[in-house]
Amino acid sequence: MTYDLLGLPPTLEEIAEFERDVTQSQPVPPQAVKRLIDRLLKSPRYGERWARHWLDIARYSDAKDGVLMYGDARVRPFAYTYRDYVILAFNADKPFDQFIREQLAADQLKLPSDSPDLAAMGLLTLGRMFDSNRHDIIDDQIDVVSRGFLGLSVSCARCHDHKYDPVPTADYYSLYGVFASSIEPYLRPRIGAIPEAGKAFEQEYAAKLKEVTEKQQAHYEETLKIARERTPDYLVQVATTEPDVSETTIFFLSLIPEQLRPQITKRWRQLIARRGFPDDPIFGPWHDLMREIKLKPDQWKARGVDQRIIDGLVAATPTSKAEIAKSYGSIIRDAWKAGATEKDPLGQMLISRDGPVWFHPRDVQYYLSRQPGDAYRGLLGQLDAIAVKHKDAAPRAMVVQDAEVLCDPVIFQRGDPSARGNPVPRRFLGILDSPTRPAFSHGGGRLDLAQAIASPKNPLTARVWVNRVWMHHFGEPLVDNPSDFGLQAKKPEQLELLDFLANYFIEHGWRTKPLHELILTSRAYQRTSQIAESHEQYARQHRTDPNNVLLWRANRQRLDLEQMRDTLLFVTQELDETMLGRPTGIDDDKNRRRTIYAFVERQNLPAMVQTFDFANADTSTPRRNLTTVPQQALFALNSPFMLARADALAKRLSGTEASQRVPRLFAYVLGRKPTPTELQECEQFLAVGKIEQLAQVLLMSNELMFVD
Amino acid sequence: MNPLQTHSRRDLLASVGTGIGLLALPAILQADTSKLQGQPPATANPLAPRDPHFPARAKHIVHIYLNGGPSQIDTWDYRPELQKWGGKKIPVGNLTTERETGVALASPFEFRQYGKSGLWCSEIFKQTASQHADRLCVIKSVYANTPNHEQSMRLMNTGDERLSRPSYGSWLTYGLGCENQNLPGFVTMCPGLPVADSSNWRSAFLPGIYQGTYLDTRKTKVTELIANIQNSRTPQTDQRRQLDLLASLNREHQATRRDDPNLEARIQSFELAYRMQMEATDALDISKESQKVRNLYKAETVHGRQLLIARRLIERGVRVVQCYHGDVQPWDSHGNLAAEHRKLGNQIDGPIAALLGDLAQRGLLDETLVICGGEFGRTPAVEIPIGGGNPTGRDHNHHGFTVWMAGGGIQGGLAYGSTDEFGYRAVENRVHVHDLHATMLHLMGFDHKKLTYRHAGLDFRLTGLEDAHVIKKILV
Repeated sequence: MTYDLLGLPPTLEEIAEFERDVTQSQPVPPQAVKRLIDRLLKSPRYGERWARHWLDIARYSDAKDGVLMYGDARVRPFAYTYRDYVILAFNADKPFDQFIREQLAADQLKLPSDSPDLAAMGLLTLGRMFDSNRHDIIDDQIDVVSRGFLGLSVSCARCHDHKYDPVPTADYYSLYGVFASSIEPYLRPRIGAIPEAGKAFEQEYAAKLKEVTEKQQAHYEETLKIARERTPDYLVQVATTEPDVSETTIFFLSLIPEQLRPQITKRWRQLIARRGFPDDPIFGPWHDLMREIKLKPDQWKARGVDQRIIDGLVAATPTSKAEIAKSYGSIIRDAWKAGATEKDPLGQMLISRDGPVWFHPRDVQYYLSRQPGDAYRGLLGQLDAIAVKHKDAAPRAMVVQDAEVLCDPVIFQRGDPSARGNPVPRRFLGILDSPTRPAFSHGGGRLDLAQAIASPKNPLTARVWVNRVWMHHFGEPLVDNPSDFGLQAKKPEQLELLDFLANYFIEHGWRTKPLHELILTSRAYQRTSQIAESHEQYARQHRTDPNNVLLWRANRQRLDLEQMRDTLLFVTQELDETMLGRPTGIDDDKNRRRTIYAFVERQNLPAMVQTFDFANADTSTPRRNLTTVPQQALFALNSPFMLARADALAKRLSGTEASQRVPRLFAYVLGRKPTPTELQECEQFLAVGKIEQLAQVLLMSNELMFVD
Repeated sequence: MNPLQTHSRRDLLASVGTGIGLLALPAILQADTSKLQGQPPATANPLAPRDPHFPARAKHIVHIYLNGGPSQIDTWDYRPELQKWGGKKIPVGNLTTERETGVALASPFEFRQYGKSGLWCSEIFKQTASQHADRLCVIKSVYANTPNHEQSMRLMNTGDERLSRPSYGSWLTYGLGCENQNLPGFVTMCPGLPVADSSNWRSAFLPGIYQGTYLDTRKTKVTELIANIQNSRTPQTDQRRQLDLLASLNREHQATRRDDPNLEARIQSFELAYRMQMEATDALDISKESQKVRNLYKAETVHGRQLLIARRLIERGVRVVQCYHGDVQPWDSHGNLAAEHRKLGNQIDGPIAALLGDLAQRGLLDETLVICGGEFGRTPAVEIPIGGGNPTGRDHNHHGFTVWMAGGGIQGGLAYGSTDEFGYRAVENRVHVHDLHATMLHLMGFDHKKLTYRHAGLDFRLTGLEDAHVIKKILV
């Protein structure tokens, strides 16, 4: 139970105390169990254990995934504020519905501007960067939210209607619109007091932000101006070439300054594809001329074509596709230069947000040629770099906020952003609501989405969470795949139990601690995994339910990475209980803190992390793999970490009388006395071997690494 | 709503938890089923050797990865037309690549034909060509999706440009397990790190144990190459005594818990580890080779050493070995291509020739697929240097490039597919990177459509959703 709730073994005193309670009366008195649960749930160690379960789902990492990022450049300096938020939320038993609302929309909950709860939005900002491909970033947000909270894999509907579940592509793009309506501001809100040593950071950060803002504006104005000036070149490009790879795929181009910007070319192409029809007042003549180069001013006039287009074309008398396009470009550009406004249909194309030229100032980095682009991206990188450098900087939350321009989503056919299909409203999933559900009405809709997910009427949210809690207590969930409650899921044997737990959870204010208490005081939980095979009951149960689906006994569990490392530090009395704050490398030999505070890498994982089935930080992990491989044994046998623990344990024994060394060692590591055989074997070992070596053997033992 | 309807066949797969292979891997399904409750059972050793879908032509892959993008038109794709147009604008125009390019750049290297098959090759790979032309299948019509290193590296290794997908080595280790339990199934070597580093050999949503074991070959001491492979202070005899005591204590602990296979698995893993310490160290120790062999490989250089280690690994049953040429992207000759490519060729040509000869002599080439190439090729047109300067290099070119294969199941002395007359774009018998993957899996005994894994509600495979094709015409 201590392992379940705290991820640590009980101390010798705690074992003794519980045994006193228990041996005085049989069976185990409920008050003793209750006292134990109360004590454990009050321990700050509890949040440090249960936060990690959530961080697996939230695909938490302290690192960026950019290429050619080494050393400090790969660090997300404020990621830890999200990890700390989750730990504190569990310790405070924050209601789960509030936990959801804060992670999706803390910015809209009227929290104080420096509230640490703003860090909750790290859920949306800590994922992979996908080489800055916005569509992939949004897809990742949809995935973590839908699988994490709802147990539905909505991402499957990115390219086509969900193969198995009733999630149409339209619903995917409804959610797409919600997340696409948010941006991550460069200015991150400060959520803690500035320590004396953190003042230098504040100054440097403010100065850097100012520099970024000014540079962004300057680049933006210049890029827009050039793009408008070069309208004739863009139209010639559209008229004389096929779309090339730079327009059809999303990648990084090393442009020289004179090159046309492929994104703008692409949008011009789309505009003309949309409007190049005979009855269009601007591009009607374009349609005619591209088929037959013959000026038809009277006919055009009769069709209501803009007089400036007619005059311009007549004056230019183009003789090739390139010249037609060039004339068009000149007419449009000259109208803009002469002061046409957004209301003017010609000015509109170069000025309006819906026009092909306009883009969001935040995106200017993707429009720059190689050298200024590198310099500008370098500058953006410095915002984080200075925060990495100043270790004492006050914490800042990695928030999102509604963008200035919200996204009105359309379906991308087959997931291709350039194949724009029908518009869809920003709204919730049809399967969890009604077909006539209204569009979200608050800004980009993140808060509406959070409310819909965190609603007691939502049939999935509470069930999905209680199933996860159950899994962490019993080793097996009630619904097999905890992030997939779709049609593919197997109907749970104990559906009623799941429903009962979900109702109980909601009735108790969406709080997890009462749920723990309910589960931990159940008879099912208090069964042992150890039932003698000779026992008649064993034979019967094993025959009828060998997989233990009905929980006739406990599932023995091997310690996971965190439990293992924390336990090893705990039994050697080295565990540093400092909570929260910036991470430390797991390979740092001075790092004695709990494993949840270790820096979570994304690439080149340290051997310990990789070998012991740590959650993949690139994607939401509902449940860890459990492998048993020789690399784990190599770690136990040879790693500097294990050798250091063995030394520390041996040191704990220094000064102990020779005959007491083995019993002490057993007490420290396994919390019990050695059997006579064990005692004899260990003494024999010590006759030749060193005490450190014996200590290491106990630290490697199955008894320490498994919980019955 | 009732989201909990049942589907029996899928159920079976889902209950293996990992959704293994759509009934493709009977060996795994036959593994101990007593604990198959939604995650890979610890008892079914994830690395136990397994049979593929059908008898394999190759048991191993050695991938000589010339990272950075070697120029096809300066190596295997001889284009006489390009030589004529040097200094002039290519008449059909340049294709869009990562950077602006200008006039045609004639190859500064000499070409000739080699072997009975008469395969063309430049002086850059003359040793490989002169000794092994009739063993090689030079695929001249490979293409990728984008002219960027990161994306193309990931595409070549994982079948996807941006998303977290398992590398082909991970897929194969997942499918085949390890022949040798004392060594990892998939090893990747590089002196430093290639672009997109570990994403090139990651296991992504496959269990972590299928990730490539990365060896930084800048380190020359054998014991530094694999984490925790040796104890810094405990002598072997002492360690044996520790293990004996550990086994004894574990057995006593197990006595009242005999039905739990996880306990047994962990006990066994210590014995495996003990043997692995010896065998892995031995496999990486090229000093065990004769001086003659070491000379042949130029084993004093990192490139020769990597290929020699590769041979020692596959000899011992490792499935997939990748040898990257160098840190970041050595073959990325944006400038000074003549000198750069010559230098790089000098580094790797001799060792490649030695490896192919050595494998053939040992009878290993028949069961080993050797692959050599980069993530893309280079443009026939010269690159316009950003910020001015003399144009002397070529830009990235994903429209058409060359990869050669040799060994297990591959026809030798064959040139397959073709680019246009300037070597810009693959035009005849075009081979997408996914087709390469489908062919590799086929040679290793897998139908690429059936080697799948259930993750986040979908069955994923290496070759993605679009149809990929095995290149049948290059198979024996």
